[in-house]
Order: sequence, then C-alpha cells, then structure tokens
Amino acid sequence: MELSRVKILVDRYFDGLTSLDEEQELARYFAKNSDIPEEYQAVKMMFASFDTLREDTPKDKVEVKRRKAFTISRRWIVGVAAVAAILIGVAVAITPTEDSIDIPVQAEPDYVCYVGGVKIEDDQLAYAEASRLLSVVSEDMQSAMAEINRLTYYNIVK
Amino acid sequence: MKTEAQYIEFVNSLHDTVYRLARSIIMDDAEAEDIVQDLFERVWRARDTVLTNQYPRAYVCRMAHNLAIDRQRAKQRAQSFICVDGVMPTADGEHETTTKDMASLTRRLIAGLPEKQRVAIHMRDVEGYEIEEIAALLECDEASVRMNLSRARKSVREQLIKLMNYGVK
Repeated sequence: MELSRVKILVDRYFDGLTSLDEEQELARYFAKNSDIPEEYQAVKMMFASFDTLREDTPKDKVEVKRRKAFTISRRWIVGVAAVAAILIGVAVAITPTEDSIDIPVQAEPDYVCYVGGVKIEDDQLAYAEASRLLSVVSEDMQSAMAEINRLTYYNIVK
Repeated sequence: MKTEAQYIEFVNSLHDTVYRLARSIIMDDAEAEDIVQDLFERVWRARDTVLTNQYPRAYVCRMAHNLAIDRQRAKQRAQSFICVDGVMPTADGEHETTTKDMASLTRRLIAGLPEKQRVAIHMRDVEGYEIEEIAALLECDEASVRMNLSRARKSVREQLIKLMNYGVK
C-alpha cells in the first residue's frame, strides 16, 4: 500500500470515519510491514494489540445447556419453597395460640325434656316442665283410678 | 430464532465477545467469567426479547456491559487502580515491547477511558462490530459513536506515544 494511502486511511481512522474493510486493510499493512515510519509506530502497536486482545478467551467455557437446566431447576426449587412457605404461613395464622383459645365451658345438662318436639336443655326449665307434666299425668291417673273404683263399686252393688 | 438450538448457537457465538467486553471493564478474568454465566441466564429468561431485537448481538453486549458496570461499582473498583506507570519502563529505562505486554498495556489504556469511548473502541477495534450495532449498544446515534471512537483512538495513541518517548529517554 502506498504511503499516501496509508496516511489517508490513518487520518480517517483517527477521525472515526473508516469502514471495517478499510480498518482491516490498515491492520494487514501494519502486520506485514516492518519498515513503518516513526510517526506510525504507535498505530502499529495499537493494531497489534487489538489482534492480541481479540484472541483473549476465557479458560472455561460456560456450558449453555447446563446453565439453562440449572435455571429451570432453581425455579422449581424456588417455586416449591414459596408454596411451602405460604402453607406454613397459613397454618400458623389459623392455628390458635394458647392465649387465644376460648373454649366455652358448658356443663352437660342434667335434665332434658321435649315439649311438642322442642328440646329443652335448661336444667331448671326442663325440671319444672317435667314436674308439671308429671303432675298432670298424676292427676289424670288419680282421676281415672277414682272413676274405675266408682264403676267397680256399682258393678258389685248390682 | 426461538428454538433452543438456535438460542444455544447464538449464545455460543457471543461467548468470547461478552467475556472480553466484561473483562475490559472489570479487569479480572474470574469476575468476567462469572458475568458471562450470569448473563447467559438472563439472556435465556429474556430470549424472546433478545432474539427478536433488531440488533441481538448489541443487545446482549449491552446486558454484559451493564452487568460488568454494576459489579464494578458494587465492588468499588474505581478506575484509579489502573496504574499505567506500573507496567511501563523499568528502572533502567528499558522498554518491554513484547506483543503480549503491548496488548496488556493497550487494554489498560482502554480501561482508563470514559465509558462510551471504552465501549466504542473495544467493540469496534477488538470485536469488529458495525457502527450501528455499537450505537444500539450504547443507545446513542452513529455520529456519537464515531465521535467517541475518534476520541478513544486518539487518546490511546497519544498515551502510547508519550510512554514510548519516555522509554527511549
């Protein structure tokens, strides 16, 4: 490449105006020529450095598939953990603590009676109702017995 | 480009590029590899968005760039730690000119540039990306990319010339 061409390209290069093809042309020139003018020595070093930096690769390649699988697995783990946490939270929330237990102390009724099919569990009320009913039955029984005795008397007399 | 095979092929084609981009920012091999792993997980999750983007390569590079910047900031690795003097001429004035040393020096000079200049020169001169892709990566117009590229190249050249002159004195 003519030196005039090199100057034009170098000027354009440092103005940021060169195309990729022109930059490759410059890179080839500096790589192949050892008798570079002094003013372009720094430019030659730059291009040589870029070539070296381009070959810089990581020691270990990231395995894309493995990383993807790990991602999915981690999502599952996080998902399951989240659901478990929610369930535990709900369980804790609905489980009454010792202080909050409020079980009504209610003794078993001693007396129960049914009036017209209605169950009465109040002891005193049931007792009173039962007593009243039994009194009625008793009075009826006494009345019936008196009637029976009277009829028996007439039968005997006749 | 949504099948798993296409995704894997796409990601593998970008592996070294995103590694080098991350490394140019974080300046640490292991950190750069971590960033690549993290990046690939994110790309997989956002694969529909990434792979349908007009510039998918630039989109992924942008993600890598942001991850590296975040990690760098998190670890408070200020660029002040990049000490060019530390790798320059030895006490007796001799100048190491091996290609590897020059590349290492250039990398450090690039790392010391402002963010947009650093990304522009790395993606163009090391990775060979088109200007429009770099514009998409940096979320700016092409004229801005060319301006940053110009400044970055001139800055690196000037520092190299200074160091070379210092070495021969």
